[in-house]
Amino acid sequence: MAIIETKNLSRLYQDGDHIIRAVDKANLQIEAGEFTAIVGPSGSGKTTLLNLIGGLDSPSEGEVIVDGKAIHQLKDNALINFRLQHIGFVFQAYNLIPVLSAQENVEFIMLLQNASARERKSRAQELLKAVGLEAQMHKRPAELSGGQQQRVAVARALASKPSFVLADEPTANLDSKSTEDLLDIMHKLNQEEGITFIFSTHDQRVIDRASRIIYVEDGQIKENH
Amino acid sequence: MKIVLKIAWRNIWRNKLRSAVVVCSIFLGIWAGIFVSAFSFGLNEQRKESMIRNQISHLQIHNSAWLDQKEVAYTFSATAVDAYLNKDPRLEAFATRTKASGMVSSAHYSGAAQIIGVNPNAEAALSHLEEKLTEGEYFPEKGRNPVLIGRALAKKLEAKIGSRIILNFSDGQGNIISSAFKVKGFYKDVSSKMEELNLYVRQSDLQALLGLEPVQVHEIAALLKEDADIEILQQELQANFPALAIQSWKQLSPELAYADDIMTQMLYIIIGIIMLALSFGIINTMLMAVLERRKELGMLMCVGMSRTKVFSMIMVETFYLALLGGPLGILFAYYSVWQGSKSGLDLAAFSDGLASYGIDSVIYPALPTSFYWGTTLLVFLMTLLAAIYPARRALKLNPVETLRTI
Repeated sequence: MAIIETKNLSRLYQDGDHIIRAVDKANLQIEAGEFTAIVGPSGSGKTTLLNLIGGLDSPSEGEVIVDGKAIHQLKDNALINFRLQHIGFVFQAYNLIPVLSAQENVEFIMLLQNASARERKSRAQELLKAVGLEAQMHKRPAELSGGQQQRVAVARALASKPSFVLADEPTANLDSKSTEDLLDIMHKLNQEEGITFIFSTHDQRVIDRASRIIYVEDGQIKENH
Repeated sequence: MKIVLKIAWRNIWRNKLRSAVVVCSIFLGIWAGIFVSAFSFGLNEQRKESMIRNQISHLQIHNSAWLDQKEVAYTFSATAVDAYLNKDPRLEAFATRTKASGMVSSAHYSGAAQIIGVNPNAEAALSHLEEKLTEGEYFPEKGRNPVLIGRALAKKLEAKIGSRIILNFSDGQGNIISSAFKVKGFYKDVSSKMEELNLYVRQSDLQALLGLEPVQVHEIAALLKEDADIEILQQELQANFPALAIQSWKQLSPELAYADDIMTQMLYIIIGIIMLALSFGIINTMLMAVLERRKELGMLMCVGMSRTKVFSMIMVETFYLALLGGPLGILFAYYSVWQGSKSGLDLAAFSDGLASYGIDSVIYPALPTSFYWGTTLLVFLMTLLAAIYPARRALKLNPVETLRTI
């Protein structure tokens, strides 16, 4: 069964007299366990599509169904809570909380879920170990390299035990070595634990690892294989 | 909530200098505000006490007609009132006075004078006149017509101890009386105007010159041990002596009473203005903090932090700043006022100006304890108001928009 389904999904923006169709009638189904890359040129609508799937943006038309729930119908607070329980996010600029350590950043999501202290600690440590940051658990983001910060972001995204992880250009700010390391970790998590990853990316190295490519141009899904 | 408190606490130390500046400004603003308030309150209290102790006392009793026209003829018999007051344990002191308005003159100067006939012992207990002498003797037993004059008047009259001066005034029948008095002492008053105007003579001497019986007086002034008893005693006296006019210090000096009544409001206005200015500083700082962290706040909402928690976090950050600066300012102000109330602030450089208002040059700051609580409440109320706008700005952030501005 598809964990994500979009039906005639559109997102329109007004630019003066013109209407820009950032996403135009997108029909999409993503199954659990996929390692999907949404690709396309700059301004093609990749990030907007990802935002709509993640409930960060509201569609102008159409439907977004995640885990069987029509999230486009949810109100603001319900949507925030839905994201907390069902979706993990990895951002291009890492976006860790600078005043918290790596472990606290990972625990933060579970705190929002009201998990117990013991559960938070053990899961955070387990996830940081999985991304190879056992030794950096107590360091703050400023003390970590870009690649390490992005790995903390992946651990954070997985902390809430989400149905899938959305990653917006996760390797855009990383060097080759860090990119390879990160992709290895995410691919391993996908293969061994069946975690669903959906990326928006330009990066050929990400595209090469993807099990499915969705090509977007002018807001429309042109290829889907 | 724990995580909100934790993140908020760490957030305020991200920019240590900025937070330190805000905390210091809150601390200094509150300290200065309270200290200025204590100074004003102390100044007013001293002025009030000085006026009461030196001039008007807590209660004054007169012939009712004296209130309209201060004629020598409008005396009353002090016997019954004297007997009543003598038995009252609530009184600290009281004294009878006989008064005459006239002129004082020497070879060098002539001017208006208020001649006050006093019972030396009773007046010493009431207005501490004896302690105010800077030179000479306080109504010696021997010698005819002694007079005590203020230093300012002595300077104008070019009088020395032992000098003779002439007092002119009219008696109850309209006869002009001119009598020589011997200067026996100079007194110092907090008000230089009072030093120039008031001359103290023995009550018996003045009564004899005015042709009055020893029991006939113009005024009985009384000081009470407790302020709370003033109105009660006033009512009791009025009930017992309906023909006499019994006035409290508030009726005798309405401007003094008004200043006393509005003082607390004035203090809150002073501290309120300071807090208002501080709150703009807080708004500015927190707004900067919110705008600088738009991306981060947006991310928090993206990953599942509710808007209520984001709002609370900014409110808590603001409160932390106020919690650091506010109590510190209040405690330091309390200590400063306490120290000041012991040693006083010597404003000798302004003593002439202060003296013209009847205020001593050493000011003792003072504040009612309730003002500290009121200020504490005001600090947190203003902080709450100052925090709302930046927190609302955070609340209004669109997560997608904030992430797009990376």
